[in-house]
Amino acid sequence: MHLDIRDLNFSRGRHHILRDLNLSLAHGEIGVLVGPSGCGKTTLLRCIAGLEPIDGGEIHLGGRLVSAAGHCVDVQQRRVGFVLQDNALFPHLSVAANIRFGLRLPNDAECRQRVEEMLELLGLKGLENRLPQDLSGGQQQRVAIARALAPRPELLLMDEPFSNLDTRLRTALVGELRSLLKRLEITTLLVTHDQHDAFALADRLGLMREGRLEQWSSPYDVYHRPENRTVAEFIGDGVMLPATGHAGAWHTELGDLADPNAEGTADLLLRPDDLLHDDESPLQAKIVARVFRGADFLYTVQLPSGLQLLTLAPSHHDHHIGERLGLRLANDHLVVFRRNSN
Amino acid sequence: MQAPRRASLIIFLTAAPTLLVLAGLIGAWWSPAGDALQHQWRYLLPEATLNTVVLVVIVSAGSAILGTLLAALIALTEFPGRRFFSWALLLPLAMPGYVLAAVFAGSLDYASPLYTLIREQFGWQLASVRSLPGAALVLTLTLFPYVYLIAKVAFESAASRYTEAATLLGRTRLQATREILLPLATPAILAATALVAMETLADFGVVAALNVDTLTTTLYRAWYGMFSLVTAQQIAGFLVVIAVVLLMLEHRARSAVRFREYGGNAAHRQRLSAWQSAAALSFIGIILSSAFLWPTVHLISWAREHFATDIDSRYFGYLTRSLLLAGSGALVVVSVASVLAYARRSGPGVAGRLLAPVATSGYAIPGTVLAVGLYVPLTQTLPWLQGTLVILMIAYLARFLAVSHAPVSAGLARLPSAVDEAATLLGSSVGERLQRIHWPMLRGSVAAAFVLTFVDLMKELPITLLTRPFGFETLAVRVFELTAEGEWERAAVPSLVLVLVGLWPLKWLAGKMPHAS
Repeated sequence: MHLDIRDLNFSRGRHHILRDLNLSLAHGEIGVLVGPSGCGKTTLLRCIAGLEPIDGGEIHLGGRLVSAAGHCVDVQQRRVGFVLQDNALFPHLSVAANIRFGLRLPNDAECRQRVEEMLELLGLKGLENRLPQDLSGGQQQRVAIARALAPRPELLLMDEPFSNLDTRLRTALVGELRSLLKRLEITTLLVTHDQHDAFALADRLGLMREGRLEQWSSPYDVYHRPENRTVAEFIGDGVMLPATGHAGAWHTELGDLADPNAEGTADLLLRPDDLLHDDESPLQAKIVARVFRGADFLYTVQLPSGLQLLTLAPSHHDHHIGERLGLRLANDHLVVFRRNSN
Repeated sequence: MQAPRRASLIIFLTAAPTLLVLAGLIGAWWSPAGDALQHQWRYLLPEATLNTVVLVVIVSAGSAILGTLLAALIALTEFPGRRFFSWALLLPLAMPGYVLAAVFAGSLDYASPLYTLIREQFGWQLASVRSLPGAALVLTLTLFPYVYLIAKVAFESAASRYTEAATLLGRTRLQATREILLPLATPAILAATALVAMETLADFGVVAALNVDTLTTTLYRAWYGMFSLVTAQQIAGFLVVIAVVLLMLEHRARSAVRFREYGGNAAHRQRLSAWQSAAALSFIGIILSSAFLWPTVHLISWAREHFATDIDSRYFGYLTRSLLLAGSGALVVVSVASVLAYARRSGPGVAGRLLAPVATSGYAIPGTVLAVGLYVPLTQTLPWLQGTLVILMIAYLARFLAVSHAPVSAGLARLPSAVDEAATLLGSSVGERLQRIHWPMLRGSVAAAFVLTFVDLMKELPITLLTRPFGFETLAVRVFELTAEGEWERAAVPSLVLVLVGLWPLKWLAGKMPHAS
């Protein structure tokens, strides 16, 4: 593993900020951390960069032990690129000088060539002599990324890199960034609060909460196979459907779902896309709220019992509040959280 | 009248004194030179000009270096007592330059213990304090806090934002300071240095007390000694040209300031070793003792000797007149500054926007120049003004409007016009808005403006000296007269009062510095 974090603990005063955290990234992988603010995401990045000495556990980078209790390799020796949350572009230096700042190449020609290369890669050609204040938010972000990437770091850390950009710009930049990082084979760990960015970028996705990493797996698994209720509730939309199990099936208001292990009481996670719109279905629910999202509608529907569910319908399925909607379960796997045991 | 026009008119009126001074002095250069000026040019002006320029250069460079070094120590390193000294280094601001000059002149002569010690131990013959180097030393020790204050904020802001970024790109703290923090702080340091240069150019008290001939003392002599108004005006015009150049330098430097204010952060301070701490503390100790501690102790001991014999009913008069003059002056200045701030906020026309900077640029013009530039045209057109305090007040207004205007307009900036609109939509009248929204929000700023101006007026010397009614003596004038006669020790009591008053606004100045969390 290229980045390997084992049982990391970090506290500030009496506050335990990071607890027994384990995480690893293979060479060239992109890892993304999401989580509510104050969950320790930024602190984790700062520990990896060497800006904070850790209290317990180990951080290995490229096979080398860089942090442990009482051991902290200098920031300058770690070869970590860090795109800080507010960019921190040096305001008195031009775009080119900012990008060149971290270069330690033997001669001037090589430095210039590397700067050229970064300008090219990030689409900053023609802006090299501008000052940061004369750039748009998206351009500043690119410069910050170029500056962090220019020295070819062993690991790139990014803290909320898209937080100041509007939706259209961030979607574009997310796509470009992923292909750029893949092309350069840069191992990256990124923090964001936006799940769309996370899904679009990540090879590995993690949810952090109160200093713990709740799950660390592929975005698909985090969404479809959440390991616990916290992950299920935080990631994506969804509803918990109460169920009782016996005779090899879960019995729910929406019908029976086969599961050889079904037993006792449990909640089943239902994503909006697990529930299809089907006028033929005997299962009818009343629409209580709807959100038009352009390409589709997100309907909140209510079952006779009062239980509310979420369902997606194509954009032209325009129904009104109070209307009844036929529903069909279309989940290909079950996510079960047993009661009392969870 | 339409609102933009009314605002422009108000701005024009507040800029009028400065405009009058500038117009009058330009006019004086075209009027025929009298014999007096020929004499001045030939014998006095070259030396006075040279002295002025040398003094401005030395004091500016000295203050820039001293202020920047101290600011870097306080903002970027951690050592025992740092927080205390962060504040204590502002104490020299409370010491009027002419008071420090009087203490130096009265205590550091050939026979003084320090001179004797140095002579006997090292065999060095120190120059007299009553000289150009002496004046440069005194001015540097009183003016460096301007640079210190601004550079400290600049360093702290830049450090908390950029030190980590530079470290992550492979720089040590020292390299980050040299490559990022210092270049970022430079425009702010230059702007503060330009301010120091203006104050040095304007200084009259220090050079007069230490017998150094500069343009301001020459102007004073032309005015009082030879009663040559034209000569005085022409020297004043000369001073204005230099002042305008410095003002432009300051504006240029200020427009290049690129940092926003962030608080300092303990994490970005380099902890000093025991030896380094000792060196830092001795350096700060030497500066602070010579600029504030030692002179204050000296003043107290002199005051104790002379208190019984010197204090009589006349002192009550000096004090009353000082308080009255500074109090009413500050009231006038703060009121006009508030009206000006509102006029600027209400969106004046083009003329108003162009004139607004003129109204607040009087701080760059030496007091002696304002005195001459206003007195001559005003008494020529309105002779009854002679012997009143009106010209004095107008000159105060021109010179100190910026001091009041800065805090008031900063306070007003926190009150966007949307707040007024919201209040109006909720049905409140103009009076109610002023009473329930503006006054509660601006109270603090207005109080700060009043105190800063009041204290500056208490210490003000040249304008008071030149335009006061005959025999109207204040504490500052008293200190000047006693030091002019070489009665250093007897000047201690009024000096101490001025120092005490000068401590008052430090609270506000210290408050301008973001607190370390």
